[in-house]
Order: sequence, then structure tokens, then C-alpha cells
Amino acid sequence: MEFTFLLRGVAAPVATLVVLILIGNRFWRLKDERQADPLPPLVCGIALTAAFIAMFDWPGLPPKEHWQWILVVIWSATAAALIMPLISRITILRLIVWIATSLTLAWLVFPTWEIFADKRSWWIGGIAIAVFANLESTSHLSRKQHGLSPLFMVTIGMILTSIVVVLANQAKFAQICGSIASVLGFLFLVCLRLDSREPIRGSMAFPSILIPVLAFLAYFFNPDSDGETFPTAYVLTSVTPLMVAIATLCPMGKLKGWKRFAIAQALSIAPVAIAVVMLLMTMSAEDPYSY
Amino acid sequence: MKNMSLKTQVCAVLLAGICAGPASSAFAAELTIDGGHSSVLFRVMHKNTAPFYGRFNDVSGTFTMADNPADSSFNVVIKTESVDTNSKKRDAHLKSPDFFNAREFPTLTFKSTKVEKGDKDTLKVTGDLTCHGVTKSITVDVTQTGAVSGPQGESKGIEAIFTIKRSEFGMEYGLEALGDDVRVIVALEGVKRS
Repeated sequence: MEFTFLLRGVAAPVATLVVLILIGNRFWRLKDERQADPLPPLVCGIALTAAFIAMFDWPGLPPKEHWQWILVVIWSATAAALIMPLISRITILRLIVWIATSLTLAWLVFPTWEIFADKRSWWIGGIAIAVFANLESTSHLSRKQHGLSPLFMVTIGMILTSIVVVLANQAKFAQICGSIASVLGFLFLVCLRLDSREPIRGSMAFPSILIPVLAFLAYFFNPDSDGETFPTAYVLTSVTPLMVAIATLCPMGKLKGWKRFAIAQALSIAPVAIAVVMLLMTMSAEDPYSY
Repeated sequence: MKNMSLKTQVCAVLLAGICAGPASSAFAAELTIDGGHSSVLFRVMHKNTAPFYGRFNDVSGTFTMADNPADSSFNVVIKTESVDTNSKKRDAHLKSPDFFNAREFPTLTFKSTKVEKGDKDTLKVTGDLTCHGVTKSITVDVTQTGAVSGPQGESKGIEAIFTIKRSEFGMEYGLEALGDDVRVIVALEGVKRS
């Protein structure tokens, strides 16, 4: 991975975040749980768009290559992040919106190539279920205060996702993961510094959508994949945000402080860590050359 | 000739024409590329240090080399899945969207649009090269390397060496480590079975 490419993928979104936060100047004001500030999700969306364009240029619409739909997915995630705090308490509406979002995104990212055609409905269903499970579970994090640990956990999950997609021979997707991780990590650091939790409320929608989309796209584009291989590692990766929600919400008895955090962190990254190990084990040991 | 009637002379000319006709058309016959005896190599600088070579193992198509260059044509199809650099991991990366995006763009194609006489024994072939979903017109010098005609049919060999910039075809990944200029060496054997 090139240093300048990495720099563009990390520097572009973080610089955008800094500028927009300074312009917005109200990023951290809202304290009322019922209020929802549209600025943090919009800032994240703009920052990730800046990163995408800095790394790969403007793809056009419709994009020339299938993977470039990721830019549309980024804005779908932005929309989901904007409405997540608003609908988190209205169960029926929330479920309808998440089902519609999940199915639409699954239909959008599933490629129409012949190799996967015979199991088209299974694939679309699988992607939709993963996105829905992530969105629904992380919605609960947007309405309750759980400290900054979910944001930290999902940032680590995103970094591990980037390793999964690298092992699937997809460096571009890893760079996108790196950009998202840098945005989430930057948000975490700023929240930590300013003792504010407001940006967390909507930002969980980004990993909830982008992690499964990137994981499944990595599988589809991996030349080592074929329609017969069950993509266990990628499915495990796709539910990382769900695991973050479970790890945050599950009762842990009397455990408090760093012990609770350590166990929650381990639980949240367990599936994606297993995925990394699985992919490392399937790598060819007969390839003597590095490149 | 002096003693021959006009009728006989006309017949002789027609006969000569009939005999010469098939030979001429056979020479301009469309030849099918023999993938087993054809090679497509590419050369790119690695870290601006040493040239690195890779190849495509699946090449097919047809070409015609006529006496009149304008009647010649070249139609070459290369499967991107067949890229081979002596490293399975690197081949997989080359097939990814970082480079050829083999899932989405399964073939590289060249289709000639104009053929002219070049220097010495070469043809100046202009055509559309489609790679990574981008089509660009390029002009290459094609040299005929040999020809054999026998009872089993005829075969001809051609070779072309040209350079393209991969960034012009939307392949901009890793330009620091792998050079932008890619030298392509195409050696094709076309056959027509009798």
C-alpha cells in the first residue's frame, strides 16, 4: 500500500472533519438525548466522500465500476445516521426503515455476474440480514449513553475489517476501511477530549452499513472466491457492529471498569478476529514470493 | 500465341485467372490464433529498479494479412483471468479492482480499425485497445515473423511490441511501486487448417 495513497485516505477525511467542525462550531453542544444534531453525520459523510475522491477520483453516476457504488452506500449510511436518533424509539417505523434500507443496499451492491447468479436471492437476503441486524442493534446505542467504548470498539472492528479485505486481495477496499476507521477514531479522540458523546448517536450507522457492504464486496471481487465456497469469514466480519452492540448491552454481572471494557472489547472483535485467522489459514503456503 | 485463336487466348487468360484466384484468396484468409503457440507478455518497472515480466495464458482471436494492407485485420481477445506472474497471491491482486478487475472486465481486446504499410516488412496497425473497461485507439507496428504453407494448412506468425500507460486505462493503483509504462509484447501464430 502506497504511503501517499494512505495519506490521502486518512488525511483527506480528517482534514475535512476538522474544517467542518470548526465551521459548524456547534458540534458538541446538544446534551438532550431527544435532540438529534444533523451535523455530525453530515460531517462524517462529507469527510468520507472527500477521502473517496482523494483516493479514487469522482466515479460519475452511474459509476463505471461496480465497487464505486460504495460512494452511494456512504451517503445511504449518512442518511441512516441522520435518522437513526430520530426513529430509535419508534419501533414499527424503525423496523420498516431498516428493512427498506437493508434490502435496497443489498440489491445495489450485489453484482449481476453470472458466477453468483444462481444464488442471487440468497445473497441479497444474506447481505440485507447482516445490514438490518447491525442497524437495528446499534440503534439502541444511539438512544442510550454508553460512554465512548462502542465507538472505540467499532473503530478496532473497522481496522480488523481492513485486514480481512486485504487478505481478500482488495487493497482499495482496505483503504476505504482505513478512511472510515480514521474518521471514527478521530471522532473518538475528539469526544474523549471534549467529554461529549453526541456524535456517537448517529455515527454507528456508518460501520453498521459499510462493514457488511465492504466485506461482501471483498468476497465478490476476490478471484479466489467462487459461487460454491461459503463465505464464512466474510459473514463473520459483516456482523462486527452487531457484536459491538451485544458486547455493550449484555449484562456482565458485577464487572466494572477496565475489566468490563476488556471483555466487551474481546467479545466485539471475536468474529472478525476469527475471520482474519480463517483467511490467514487458507492462504497458500506454496507461494514462495512476496511482492 | 501467334497460332492461337482469339477464343483460345481468352480461355488461357481466364484459366490463368482461375488458377491465380484461389492462391490469392488463400493468402488473405482469416487465420485463427493458436493459443498454444502464442504469447502475450507485459513488462513493467518494479520500484524503478528492475523490469518485471508477466504474461497472459489465454489468448484467442483471428487475423488476416492480405497483400493489400488495407484488407488486413486483427482481432485479439485476452482473458484477464489468465494473468500469470509466477505468484498466486500477486495474480489474485492483479485480478482485483486495484488492477484489471477481472470479474467485471473479463477480457482485454484489440480490434484493428486501419492497417497501412509500415517501414520495411511491418504493418502500421491502428485499432481500439479495450482494457479495464477503457477503450483507446493505439497504433502498433506489426511484423510478420514467418509463414508456412503445407498440406495441413497454412500458418503465419506476427509480433508486435508497444508501450501503453496503464494510468490511461484507469489502472492507477501502486504507481510508486510499479511503473506507469507497460511494454506489451504480443507474438501470435495464426493457423488455417485445410
